[in-house]
Amino acid sequence: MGSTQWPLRTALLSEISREGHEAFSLPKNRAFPEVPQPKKGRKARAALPELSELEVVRHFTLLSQLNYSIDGGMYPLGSCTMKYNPRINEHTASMPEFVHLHPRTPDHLVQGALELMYNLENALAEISGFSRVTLQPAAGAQGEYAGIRMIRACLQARGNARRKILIPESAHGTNGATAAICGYEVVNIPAQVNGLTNLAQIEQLTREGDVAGIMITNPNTLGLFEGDIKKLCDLIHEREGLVYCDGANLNAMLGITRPGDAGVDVMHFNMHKTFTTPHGGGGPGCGAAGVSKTLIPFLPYPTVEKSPANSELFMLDNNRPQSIGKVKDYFGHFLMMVRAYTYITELGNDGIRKVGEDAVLLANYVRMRLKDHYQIAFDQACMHEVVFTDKKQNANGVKTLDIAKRLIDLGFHPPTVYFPLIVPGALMIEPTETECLDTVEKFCKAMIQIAEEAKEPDAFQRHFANTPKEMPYARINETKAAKDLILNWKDLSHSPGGPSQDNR
Amino acid sequence: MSEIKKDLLYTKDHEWVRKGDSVTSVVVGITDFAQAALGDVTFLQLPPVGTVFKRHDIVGSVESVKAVSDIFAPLSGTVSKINETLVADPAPLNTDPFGTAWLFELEVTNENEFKDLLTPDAYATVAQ
Amino acid sequence: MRYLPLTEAEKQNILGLCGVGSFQELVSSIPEELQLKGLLDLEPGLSEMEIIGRISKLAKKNKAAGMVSYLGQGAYDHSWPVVIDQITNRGEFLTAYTPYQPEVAQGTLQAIFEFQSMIAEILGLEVANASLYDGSTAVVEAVLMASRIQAKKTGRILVSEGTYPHVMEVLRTYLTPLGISIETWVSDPSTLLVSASALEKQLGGSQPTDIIGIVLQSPNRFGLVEDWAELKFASQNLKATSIGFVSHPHALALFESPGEADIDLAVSEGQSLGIPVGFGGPYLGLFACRKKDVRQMPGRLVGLTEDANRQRAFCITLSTREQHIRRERATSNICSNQSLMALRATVYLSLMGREGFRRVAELSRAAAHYARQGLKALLNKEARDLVVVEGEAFNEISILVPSKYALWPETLQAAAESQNILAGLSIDVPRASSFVSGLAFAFTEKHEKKDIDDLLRVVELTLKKFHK
Repeated sequence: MGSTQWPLRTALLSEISREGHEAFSLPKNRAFPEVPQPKKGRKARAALPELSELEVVRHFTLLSQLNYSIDGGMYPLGSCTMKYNPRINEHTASMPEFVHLHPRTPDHLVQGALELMYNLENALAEISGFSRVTLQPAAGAQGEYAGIRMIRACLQARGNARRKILIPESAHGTNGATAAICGYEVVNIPAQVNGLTNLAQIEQLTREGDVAGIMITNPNTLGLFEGDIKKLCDLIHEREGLVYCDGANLNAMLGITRPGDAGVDVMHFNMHKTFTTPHGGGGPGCGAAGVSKTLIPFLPYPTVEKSPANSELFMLDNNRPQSIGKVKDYFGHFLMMVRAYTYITELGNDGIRKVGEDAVLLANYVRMRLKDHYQIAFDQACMHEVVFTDKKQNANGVKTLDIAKRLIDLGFHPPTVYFPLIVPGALMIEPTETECLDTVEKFCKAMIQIAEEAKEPDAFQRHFANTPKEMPYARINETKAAKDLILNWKDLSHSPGGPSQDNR
Repeated sequence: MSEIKKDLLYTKDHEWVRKGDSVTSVVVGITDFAQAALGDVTFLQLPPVGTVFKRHDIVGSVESVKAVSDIFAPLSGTVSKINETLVADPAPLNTDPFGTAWLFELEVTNENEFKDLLTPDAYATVAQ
Repeated sequence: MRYLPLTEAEKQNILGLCGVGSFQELVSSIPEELQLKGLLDLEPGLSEMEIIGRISKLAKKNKAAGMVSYLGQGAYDHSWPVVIDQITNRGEFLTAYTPYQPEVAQGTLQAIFEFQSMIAEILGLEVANASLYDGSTAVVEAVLMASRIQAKKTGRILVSEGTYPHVMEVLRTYLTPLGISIETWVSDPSTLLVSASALEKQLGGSQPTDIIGIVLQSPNRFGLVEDWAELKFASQNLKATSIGFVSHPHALALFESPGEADIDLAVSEGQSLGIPVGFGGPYLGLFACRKKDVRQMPGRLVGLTEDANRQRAFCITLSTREQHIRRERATSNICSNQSLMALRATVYLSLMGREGFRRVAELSRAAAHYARQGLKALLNKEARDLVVVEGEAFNEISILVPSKYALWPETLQAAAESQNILAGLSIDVPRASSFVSGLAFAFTEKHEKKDIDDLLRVVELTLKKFHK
């Protein structure tokens, strides 16, 4: 990461700024007549920095060198599906005829965009076994929100609104937060010994008749396929509830099985996981949602339809009286949809199947290579990710966090740590299918080396204290950040350890 | 092994209770086990003096970088005093949870509830 | 397959290592009935050339591309320096994960800290978060934050009449299940602006105690700049949280910011900061508040700290507010920020700087005023019943349409289309208005005099035809 001949850090834009520097190139005026000054003008000019273009380019180039990225190395992050972001996606998403399209342009002038959305929806529906798909949600969490809202709307329409949602303890944090902001009371389902949901337990919890539904993740957050999924869906439906499935782990199922077939009513897609839209350092995502026939009337509006007058034409349908409304303005992250569509088109049906297979194969490779070195949470064939605990290493004073930070020194981003919460000291590993076996093996070797180091006497002091040591940045003090709470460069009077003027 | 003081009573939520100056007042804090689980405390939120709580109500929260823990009322009563110094700088919660890092004082309204608090030995089985 | 390097031989090795004879055995936890029997009903994969060919064809079906656009109402077709794409397309930014491991993500983290600083500056408040999905959801989040600050779980919010309908729709969607109802803060039909005194009258002189927050959009959907002081008075009177929704951040290069007017929460749609209109997304929600309220603030936050060698560094902070720790007690369910879009905005603002940011605003405003003057003169001559909205405007102007001319906007848009012009958007008028609709035109630094003259010519032609 980063060449040592370059300065390793860069000052803040506010520190590089010099009065009179400029990097913009705008017409001086357009020969328009002068406009009177605003009556309530801004009192002081916005104190934005002033830099030359070279300073800006250099600043961000140097910053980029401090980032780990998929382009630079493997991310074995469980549940994140950090697969390669194909560049052809960037090419298609930057076509000017997509980029400069205003979202309120009349339908007949944006037929290409509508057709693309229509085709993408159909492809996703086919991949997941749902009847219809909405592309409106901005990210997974919003897709989740739309899903629970549709469940709520459906039950209300039936005249049988209920107050509770069941969520397994192993679920992702967004599940509980989403249920809460939809006005539901969350009932936590305690985890079972084998990590899978227990039908008898669910049967008991739904007996009262006040359960609107269940939010499950399949494969679950331990990387295991919920074999009872169809029975679970049948049970919930019998009790007049609906089933939401968190689609974060869809990668494991591509071409192998479909949640819609098992009876799931709604599932959100993480396009930025399964369908390679880029993570961009934390967003934007793209969170479509697939629904069963039951929930179609409640989809957010507008939906993309073929024109009733002419099936060659596409239109946006705002006339959806039972719709939950709009979870975000306009139609969703269109330019991300172009990327996902490109990817699915490139894979095709044969490629999609290979994605699911290879993802599962590589995760099981990691499982077999590491299970003698790390305690595995559940010793059975996994899907696309595998979960270990730090129990063996902890006995010698080395914890999951230490393993993670040490791994950075060995050239890898750490796996997902401390999730799911039901596994103490969890290490969740998902290699993804875009990594070749050599890379995955290198990762396994690094993990094995760490396990060996953790066995040594005084292991923590010898290998794990103060890691990472090889990076431009040593262990970062997160406690100090929370205590000092400096969130704006305006608060900086003096910043200790900032780069010297020479390094600007 | 986390520290457990013998002269205090406890709750299963990892809080301690000490009899205060008068018969009806108690002092409340969090235990060594709690502070260790939280990690470095960054923020403390306590209720205003005079607030009335029922046993098990959430009265405030303790935050660290990676976790937030609710603080519960171990007994029903009215908050008579809060540790303002600790709110300003909660660091002593990690170093002196049984002493200077007391959280608040409570004027107890139902003395019957005392019997449901845990003895140090009973708490020892919880705090494993 | 270029993204799927596992070879058949390697596959067999792995199966052997796992002690199974087939892939089928490996996934035996999936019930037989749920396993797909063949390939999905999709086409087989295409080659790069074929894909690009197909998608180019789709792109070319967008006839609007290449037209001169005067469409606004929440998305603005500004230009941006081409170097932004070069920078943000760098793999180190594009393909980086969320910066949870700060030691290997200082690039993203420092950029977000810089973003937060500049957005806080523009909005005039102390702290800005790392961004939310878009302007509409930012308004929703502000209302939810107001409900936390006020400790009022249910109640009402007031939203100014000049707020975009799509923001209202999103608000309704989120607030309905939470027991928070929305009432319109009615604007004066003659000025198309709101005022605190009019609000008092609207509320019948009562002093309701259930108002959680008041949202004022400025510039409003008629293009007029509202007075934040009215929001301040109204919210003080009603003891509610004031929420300033800045529909267009460039407006704040020239006009008073919400922070300068002591507004509690400021939110905005940041799309015009170097982000394409892109048929609706991804966009960029901006959110700022005072430091004392930061613990109630939704979204990601990056704070300054140091590493073990006392080097300055950055990390995500106060994540205890977020969903992965708080779960059902979280301040919102948001998981991501719009990091890459925030980066675009950061690079945009670094390149524009103090002067450029202002220059874009001035050029946009000058174009809008030139157009407004031209329209006034034209309508005065050709169609007195059509009224150009007067008042303090930024880059968007509007015409009010009486029933006599109800069909004219469509005629204009059709005629303009044949001239390769997208002539504005139809907008609703206030309930109390005597007009039936409005037509809004947005301008940016891209528009030259001759573009606007072309537009005026089409307006003139269609009016003349209309009168025949």
